[in-house]
Amino acid sequence: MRVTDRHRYDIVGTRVEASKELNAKALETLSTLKKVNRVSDNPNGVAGGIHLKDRISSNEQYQKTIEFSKGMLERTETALAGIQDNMIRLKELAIGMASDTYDHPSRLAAAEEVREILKEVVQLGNTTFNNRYVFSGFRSQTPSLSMDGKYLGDDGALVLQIGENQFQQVSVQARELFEANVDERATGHANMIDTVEQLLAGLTSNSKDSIRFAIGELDFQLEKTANFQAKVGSIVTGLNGAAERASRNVELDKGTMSTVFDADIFEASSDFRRSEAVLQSTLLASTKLLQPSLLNFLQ
Amino acid sequence: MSGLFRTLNIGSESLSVSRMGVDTAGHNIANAQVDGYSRQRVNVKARPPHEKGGVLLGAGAYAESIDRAHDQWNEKQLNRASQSAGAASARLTALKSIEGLFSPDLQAGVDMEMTKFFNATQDLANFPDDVTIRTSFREAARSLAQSFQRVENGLDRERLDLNQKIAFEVSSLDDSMKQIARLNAQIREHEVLPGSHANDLRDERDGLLREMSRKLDIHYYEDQHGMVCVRGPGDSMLVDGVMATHLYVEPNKDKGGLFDVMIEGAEGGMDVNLSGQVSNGEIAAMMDVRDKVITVLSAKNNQLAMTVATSINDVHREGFGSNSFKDVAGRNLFKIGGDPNRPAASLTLDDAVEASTDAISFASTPMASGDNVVGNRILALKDQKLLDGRTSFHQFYSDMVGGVGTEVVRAEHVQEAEEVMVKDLQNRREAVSGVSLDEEATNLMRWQANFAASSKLITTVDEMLDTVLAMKR
Repeated sequence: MRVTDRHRYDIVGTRVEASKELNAKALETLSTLKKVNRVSDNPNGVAGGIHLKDRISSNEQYQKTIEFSKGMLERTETALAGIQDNMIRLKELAIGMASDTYDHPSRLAAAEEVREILKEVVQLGNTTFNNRYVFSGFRSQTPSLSMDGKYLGDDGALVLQIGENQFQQVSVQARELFEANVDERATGHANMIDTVEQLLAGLTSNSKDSIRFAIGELDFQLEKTANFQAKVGSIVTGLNGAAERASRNVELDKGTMSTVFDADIFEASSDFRRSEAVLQSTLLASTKLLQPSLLNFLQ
Repeated sequence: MSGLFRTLNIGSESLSVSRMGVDTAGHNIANAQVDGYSRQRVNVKARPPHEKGGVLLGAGAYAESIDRAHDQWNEKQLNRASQSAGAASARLTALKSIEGLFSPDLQAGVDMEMTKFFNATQDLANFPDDVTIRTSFREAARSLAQSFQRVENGLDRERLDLNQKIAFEVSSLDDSMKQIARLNAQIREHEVLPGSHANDLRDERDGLLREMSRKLDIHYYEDQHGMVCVRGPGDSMLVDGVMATHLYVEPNKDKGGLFDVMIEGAEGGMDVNLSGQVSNGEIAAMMDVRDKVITVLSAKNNQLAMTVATSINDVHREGFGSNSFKDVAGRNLFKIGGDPNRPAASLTLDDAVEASTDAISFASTPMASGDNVVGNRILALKDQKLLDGRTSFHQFYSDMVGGVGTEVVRAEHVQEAEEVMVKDLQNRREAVSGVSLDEEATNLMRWQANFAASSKLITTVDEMLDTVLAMKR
């Protein structure tokens, strides 16, 4: 085949261009440390990456939600523990004041303490977390209890997403705690604050019978509070499991993302050096290829 | 004496041929780097011998013509291959440009905005009564609507760019056709005399035909006068001898003002729309991407935008807002207006939501500021298979992006294969028609030696004439 000068220049042009392209690609990988910079670099990888990115972001969001929920539940737990402590103190007072050892003035003095405790129980019932009344259900901006013990919230239960297709109730429906339901009323039980009011009335009126009746009721309230504490505990346990799952998912998905998108720095730098060597040798060979011509020898 | 003058004439003609040889070598060297140039050769023929005394005496040589080294068959193969290479290259360029709209580096792509929207929905489900979070949610919803708009606008921009390029290429083709007709006339004029070959004009015409082949599916043939007739899509006559038809673009109302390729009707007849018949070359590829690839992508983007907006609206309408909207239900989150075929282009937030975050409706019951039941139902939409009953929002989008990437990869492979074929044919053409400077240097030396020898012949005859004349003294 005849080899013309244009052909020689074309060969040189094509080879230098190919080496430069290889070099530019290697440089891009090395400078971005990514082996996928556009969809066509790995269409399936990019399509899969869209899911992975979404899952990572969603799982991080679940972690945030879980942390928020745990914070709220912690506050709820503390409030419930406070209520329980107060109920225990009330029971202690009631047991003491039900005996013949104390006279009326002593009972009036105890009534003062009960009044303080009553205020504290109402305050604990109106515990807030992030400006939200934790025992008010969906009426989160309304205090849960009025001073006379009336429950002002509703039966709404806050449900949050804590995993893919996984929704979890993260608040307690506190009407059951503070109010006696129909069945309980039928068996003679009263609302939590009413129970404290009964004790207060017994102490003020110096009625040992009333005080003794209140002791039974306080036991009932204590049992209810303990049940709620257990409920909160089980929710927190569930949330911890979900948090662990979300964290593991994030770790796994980030690993997979990295396999698809991130360049191996050693491989990238060795590729770059190789492409650099190819480019240099191509340029060197090109000058050798273009130099000799018969015209150089015709002096 | 007459014999010596004949010899002198042989020398003079040889001198002339040698000079033509040097001229031609010089012309070749001068054009060595000109694209499409075919090297030329002096076609030297021996003159018919004379008979003298029963002996046939040679009568020297003469230049019959100057020919170009040209392989017509290879040229046609190259032009055919250029059509496919042109189509592959134009398709790849257009697809690469579209690919950028779905770059994995985009932080505000539809996928990221959908993720951010659902994350904001979760945030608001955690704190339905928090004004700051309501504002963030509204921002995320607005960004999501805008991401669909961005894709739609980007596709529109690509469509219009391609449309403009088609117009430009058609106009350039029209120019080429006129130039070919002009060259046809010049070639006919120059080649009237026998042995006269308009080599450089033919090279120029071949170059134009090659350029046209890359853009459009044409075929051509040469008539007995050396003029080419060029036919285009649907066997339309583009150039007939010295006459070139007018090729132009015209906006098509049915296609939203996008251009059709039109050709002037023959002999005052109706102009013909060639758009449906263009099957190869850059213009065919650009029309295919403009009318099919972009249309399909736009339809998918609109389908996704519409499904996202309507499914969220359907749930949102059942919810109650907060404060001034605490007992008001029935409001959409997104406003779907504008062109019903392109909802993505004008997707915005509902006016009430735009005016007040209180209109965001996450509560299932009125006057319940902490109610997030409707918000949770919106969240649940994310993983439901709402598109064609088969795919979720993210799945649909990732399929769409993966499809674009696969198209680009396929186009890259086709383009590489076509370019290899064209390169091979170009090399073959170059092997036949290209200029070798070494070869031309040899030719220069050859013709120089020939010139010197011819001069020697003349001086020898001159000396012989002197001898003859001296005999008379």
